[in-house]
Amino acid sequence: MPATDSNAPSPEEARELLARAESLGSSATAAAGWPHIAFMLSFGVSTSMGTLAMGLTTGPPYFIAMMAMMAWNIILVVFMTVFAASIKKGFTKRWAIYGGLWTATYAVAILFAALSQGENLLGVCLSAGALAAVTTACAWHEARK
Amino acid sequence: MIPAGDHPRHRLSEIVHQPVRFSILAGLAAAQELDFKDLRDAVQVSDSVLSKHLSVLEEAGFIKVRKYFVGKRPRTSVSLTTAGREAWSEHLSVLREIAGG
Repeated sequence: MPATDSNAPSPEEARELLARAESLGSSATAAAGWPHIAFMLSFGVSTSMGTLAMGLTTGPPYFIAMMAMMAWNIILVVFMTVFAASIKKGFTKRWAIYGGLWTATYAVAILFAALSQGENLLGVCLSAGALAAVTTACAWHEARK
Repeated sequence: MIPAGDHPRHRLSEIVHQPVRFSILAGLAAAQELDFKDLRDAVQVSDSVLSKHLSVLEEAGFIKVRKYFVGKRPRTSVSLTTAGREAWSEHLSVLREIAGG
């Protein structure tokens, strides 16, 4: 059904409508990204500190560090699932890339942590740093979207 | 001179051009999915007005409304369909044509 002549916009009104559309798009999604950004940053803290703790210890402390990290990761996923209801455009594609980057970095980090036996300080610190860097970069990228 | 019937305004869809629905589609176009409450706050209308206009857009096949539960709390989220994204895109291009004089 086409718009009637009586409500057809003038060039000036059309420009206002275009500006309004852009402003509404920004305001509607302004708050949408923050639960995801907070999740990504917290996930980076949890996994990098967890990797550091696991890599610097052996025996029961290693498992305590692993359990604590897993508990925090579950809390973070639950919070994101419950509170992140709105999703910005392109979310699925971007988060598939973030997930891939994190998984690749974590696979290396957990290998260092598991094989370190509390001795490979440099490798563990570097892999924990890489996890922090990757998750911070992803959160930064998401915040600028 | 453009013949009367060829003026871009004839390609504006009444469904999209209505002010509240225009705002709803502008908000949804920037999102993959929006929660009902976030959309209501962005468009600044009451729940009932938003629901009424969402029904019109859903009937036209422009949006998809998803109802689900998080724990015991019901939640509604809204997203644009492919047809909705195309209609919105076409509407904006007509407005750009009109704006260009």
